[in-house]
Amino acid sequence: MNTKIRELRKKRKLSQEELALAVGTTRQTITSIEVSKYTSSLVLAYKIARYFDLTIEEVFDFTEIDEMKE
Amino acid sequence: MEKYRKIIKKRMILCGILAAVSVVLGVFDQSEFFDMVSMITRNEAIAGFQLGLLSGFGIMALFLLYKYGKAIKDDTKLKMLYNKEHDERQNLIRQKAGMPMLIITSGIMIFASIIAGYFNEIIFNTLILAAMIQLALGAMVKIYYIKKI
Repeated sequence: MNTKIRELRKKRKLSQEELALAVGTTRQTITSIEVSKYTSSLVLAYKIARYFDLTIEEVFDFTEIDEMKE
Repeated sequence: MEKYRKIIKKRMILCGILAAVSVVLGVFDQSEFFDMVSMITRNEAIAGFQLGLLSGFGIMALFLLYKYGKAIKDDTKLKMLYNKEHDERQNLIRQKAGMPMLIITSGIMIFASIIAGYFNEIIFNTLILAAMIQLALGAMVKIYYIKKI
């Protein structure tokens, strides 16, 4: 699943480590989510979106799932 | 985080006990007292392995004591440690590699091998080999999933 985490992070000049610490996960998990290797749980997705003051849909790209549904 | 700090403090006490027990058993194992009270003559290689294992446990306990000691003094490090232990991806990798049970069964096998080492060399070797293969396979699967997800 594609995400906007990297660009949101860059905008705020935030490191993966800092984001990980803020949302209660590890730097490796943030890396995996950013490179679309790992799909985060709903709870973690919510925490990340909330950290950036956005909704989950604004951070995570669900078009792949929508296309599969169609 | 205070609850977790208490858990870490308990773990530090356990590590201290493990380190102390390892030292006591190591000294006891090497002392002539063991040979005097024991009716069993141990193979040198087995005795060496048992001592090595005890030393390993002792070193591991001291390392953990140091790691927890550093984390408990620094809130950021404590939170990082908490995050690492509760990270969903790490937990998924551990589950996929069968880690919780694999560690328990391997631990039981190694413990059984230490006891068997006092009586039968073949059982000792078989149990150690089986535990090592099991742990190696688990580690390989874990590395595979670390790279995959």
